[in-house]
Amino acid sequence: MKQKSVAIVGAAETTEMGKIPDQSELMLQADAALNALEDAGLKPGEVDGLCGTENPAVLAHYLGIVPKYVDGTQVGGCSFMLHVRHAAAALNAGLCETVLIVHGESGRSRVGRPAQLPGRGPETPQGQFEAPYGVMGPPTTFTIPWLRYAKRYGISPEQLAMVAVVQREWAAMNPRASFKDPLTVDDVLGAKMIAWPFTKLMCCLVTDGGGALVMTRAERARDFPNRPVYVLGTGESTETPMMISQMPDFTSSRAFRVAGQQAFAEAGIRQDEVDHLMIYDAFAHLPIYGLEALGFCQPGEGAGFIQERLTAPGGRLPLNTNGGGLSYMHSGKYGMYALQESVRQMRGTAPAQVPDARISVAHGVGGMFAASGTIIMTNEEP
Amino acid sequence: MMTNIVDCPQTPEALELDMPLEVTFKEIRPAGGGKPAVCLPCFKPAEVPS
Repeated sequence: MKQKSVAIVGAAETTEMGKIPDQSELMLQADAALNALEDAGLKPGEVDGLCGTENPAVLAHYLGIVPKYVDGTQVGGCSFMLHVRHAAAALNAGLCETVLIVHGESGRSRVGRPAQLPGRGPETPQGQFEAPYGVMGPPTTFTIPWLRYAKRYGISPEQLAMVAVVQREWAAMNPRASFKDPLTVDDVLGAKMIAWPFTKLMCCLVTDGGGALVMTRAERARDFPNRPVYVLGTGESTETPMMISQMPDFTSSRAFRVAGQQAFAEAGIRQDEVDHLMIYDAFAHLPIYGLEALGFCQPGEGAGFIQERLTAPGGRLPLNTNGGGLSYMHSGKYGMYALQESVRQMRGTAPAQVPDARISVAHGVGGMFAASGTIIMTNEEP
Repeated sequence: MMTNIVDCPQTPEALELDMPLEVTFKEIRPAGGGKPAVCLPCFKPAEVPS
């Protein structure tokens, strides 16, 4: 993708977030979509490209959109990073003019939600080769690789707990964050044990909500009411068939590295040029894996990087400034919220705004280290 | 591969990474009884000669 050839010209989350028992997933998607379109000064009829992890045909019919470009890529929580990348390619190829990327998920209230999540049924590789041993979902699978990482690099539970402590500091500045009260390492370690050594406060929230983005080609971007955010670089990859046991190396995500390297190469930037970073934190170890895979520190140094407060308020690399999946919200596919915070930071409208930030990286995971997507944004004009 | 380590306490202290193991097979019977439906390879702590 040519740098800054496309822009995000609309971005918004659902009107409410947290517990929304009176709205179905489709209603959450529609609310997010209409909020983003309003932000861009558009009506649904002006959209000709639609992306989403659920069948986009349903939302298209619901909103009266007649798309010429449709992307239903579903690789888990980072799917929206992939949608941004695919939309950039489609816009550059002239397949469409205005793309709407939508997420809405009733993760907590489970209203209007498929009964069986894809990829975990008895017909799947995970259902056949992992589920018979009793693992069930992310808490008992996503956390396993950390045991190898912690042994190899000698990382203590206290260091892992610092990830949650620092992110709560960011959440305290965000009025929409689910949890804002300060945390100590002792609070985190003393919380209910979920899967050794991960306590409840090292695991993401389970909430309802959504978000949406509007994208177009850069030459149109100044015609919209809000400050455009340009896409500087993109990357994507996959790693396992939703089976944590099939990671080639439990201490590092190959998909993270492939997606990240693609995005940085495309953007033509170095790590020290990044002003703001979002790393999808379904569990507390993910920012550590992300910092290392994206090249911000060496293997084994990620926990120390956070413990030294380099990612905390006042640090040189502000990370997960909305509070992250650990404290802000997590409806199930958190990637959309990481992208939303990157857009806010580039627009200068984030509750915990990083002064003079001009480059932001949003990095996501799909499944349990099964996929990855990286989007690099800038507020500098082409 | 994913598996279970059996025949030892299910605690972080007893389940050490890189501990010597040996395979053991666990028969899984259908709910309600009957012949074993599948046989799962599991592992147990290996007896290390002194």
